[in-house]
Amino acid sequence: MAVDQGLQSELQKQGVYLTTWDQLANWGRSNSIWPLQFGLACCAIEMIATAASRYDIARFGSELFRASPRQADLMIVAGTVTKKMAPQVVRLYNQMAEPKYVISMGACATSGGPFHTGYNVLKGIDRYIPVDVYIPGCPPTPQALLEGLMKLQERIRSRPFGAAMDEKRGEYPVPEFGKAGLEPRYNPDMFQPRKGWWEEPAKPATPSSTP
Amino acid sequence: MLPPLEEIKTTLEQLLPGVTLAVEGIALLVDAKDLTAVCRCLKDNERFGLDYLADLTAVDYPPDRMDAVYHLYSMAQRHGPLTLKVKLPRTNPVVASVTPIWRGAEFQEREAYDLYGVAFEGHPDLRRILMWEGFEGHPMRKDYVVEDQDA
Amino acid sequence: MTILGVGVLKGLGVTLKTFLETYPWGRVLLRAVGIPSANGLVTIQYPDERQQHSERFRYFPFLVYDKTPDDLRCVSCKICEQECPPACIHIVGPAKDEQGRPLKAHGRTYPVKFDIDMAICMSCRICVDVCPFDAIEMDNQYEFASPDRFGRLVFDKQQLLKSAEYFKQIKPSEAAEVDARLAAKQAKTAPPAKPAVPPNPSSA
Repeated sequence: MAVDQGLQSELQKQGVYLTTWDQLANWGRSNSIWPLQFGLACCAIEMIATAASRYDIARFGSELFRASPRQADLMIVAGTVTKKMAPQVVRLYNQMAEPKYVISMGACATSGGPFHTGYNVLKGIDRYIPVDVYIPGCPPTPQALLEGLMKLQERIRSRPFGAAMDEKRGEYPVPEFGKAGLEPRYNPDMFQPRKGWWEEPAKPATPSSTP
Repeated sequence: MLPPLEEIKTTLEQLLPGVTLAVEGIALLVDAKDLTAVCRCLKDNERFGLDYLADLTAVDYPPDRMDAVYHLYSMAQRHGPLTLKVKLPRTNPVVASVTPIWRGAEFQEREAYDLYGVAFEGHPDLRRILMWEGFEGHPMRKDYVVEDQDA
Repeated sequence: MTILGVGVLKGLGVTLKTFLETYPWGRVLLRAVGIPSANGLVTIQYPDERQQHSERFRYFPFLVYDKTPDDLRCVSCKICEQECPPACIHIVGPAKDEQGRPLKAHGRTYPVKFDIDMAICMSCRICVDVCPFDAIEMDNQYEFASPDRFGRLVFDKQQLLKSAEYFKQIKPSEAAEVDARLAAKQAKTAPPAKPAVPPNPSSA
C-alpha cells in the first residue's frame, strides 16, 4: 500500500514517518553490508585504501570486513582470479549465507583484464558465480568502488525484502582441474560465451554510410 | 667489483681444470655437466663471493635449443650481476639443480620446470608450482597453444 | 641506547601528529611547539564531494573530434588495435563504397565501427602513445559501475567521441602540446603563402 507523497511530506514535517516493512528492512540491509576480506591482487590495495580514512567505506556501513564467509554478505572479488584459485572462490561463495552479493572489482575479475589473452587467468568470475555489479578500471579508484557499492545498495533497496529472503540459490558447482584448463570452462546455466561482432566470421564488404 | 667477463672465464678455467666456458654477449656460457662445480666455485671463492641467486629461469629457442639462465649477485661484496647460461637440448632438457648451493633456487626451479619443462636433478621436491598437478603442457614454450576459452 | 618499546612510541607520535594536523587548533598547537605540519588527512565524502585529481589522472580512452562529431581525427589506420596489449580495441574500417574505394569525410578516411571493451582496458596509454594522428586520448571519468557487463561496458564509436574542447578543458597542458604538434604538421603541408603586396604609396 503506497502512501501519497504529499501526505508523507506533510507528516514528515510534523515528525511522523510512515514506511513499509519492506522499505525499513531494505534500508537496514543496504546500509550495513559486511564485505568478506577477499583481496587477491592489486585491486586489494585500492580496497584497503577505500577502507582507510581518506575515502572511508565505513560511512556506507561496511565498517567490518569479515574474515569468515559465514559472517559476510558481500564478496568483493578484487584482483586477478587465476584458474588455480577459481574453485576456491566458488567454494567460498557457496559458504556464504544468503542473501549474498558479489561485486567484481577491477578489470581482471570482470573479464581477465590485462591477462585476457593469457593461459592461466579466468576470463571473469561471472563464469561460475553470479555477479551483481561490475566495476571496470585497472585499478578502479576508491571513489569508483564506492559508486559500485552505491549501485549495489540501490539494487538491494529495489527488491522486496520477502522475495529476497525466500530466494534460495543453492550451491554452485565447483569447477575441477582438467588437463588443459578448468572443467567445465564455464557454468552453462549462468554464462554463455558472447561472441562480439568482431569474432563473427567475416561477411562480404557492404557499402557503409555516414560516420 | 666484478672483473670483466673474459677475466672471470680465464680465472675459472684456471681454478677448475677440465672446464671450458664461453662468453656469449653479456652471459657466461657453462656446459651442463660443469654447472655444479662452477657454481660452487663462484659462491665459495672470495674473489667472486656470489652468494645470492636472484633469478633462475629458462628461455626457449625453437627448434632445438633451450637455455637455463642464472643471475647471481654478491651481498657480502656488493657486486653483480653475473649472468650464467646453460645450453640444453629442447627435447629432454635436464640439468643439475643448484638448490644445494643456493636455497633460493628451490621455488624458482619448480617454476622453470612447470612453465618450460626443464628437469632439475637433485631437487628435493620437483613439482608444478603455478599450474596444478595434472595439467598437461608447459605454457611458456613457444609451441604451447592456449585453450579456446569461449568454445 | 635501545629501550624496549621506543619504536612503538615513535609510531604513536606520528599518529598523534597526523591527528593534530587535521584540526586548525591542532595546527596552532604544533606551530607553537615548533613542529612543521601539513594539512592533515580529512575524509573526502563521496558522493557529496569528489576528489580533484591532478591533470595527468587517466582512466579510459576516448576519440577526439575537432568541430563536429563527423570530423574525427581517426583515419582507421588500426595501429592502436594492433598495439593494445590485451586486445580490447576492435575496429572495422575504413569505410568503403561499392567499388571498394575508401570514402572520405573532411578529407580523411574514417572507421565504420570503433569499439573498446572497457571491461578489459587497463589504462596503459599505449594506444595514445602510438597514434600518429593524436586521435585517441585518455579521459578521467571513472563512474562506470554497472550490473551488465556486455551491454554497458563495451563502448561504441558514438560513446567514445568527445570534442577537442572537452580535451582542452580536462587536460589543458597536454591539449596545448597536441595542438602545437598538429599546427606544425599543418604548417608543413600548407601551400606557401603568396608574398604580401606592398601598399601603393600613391594611394591616400
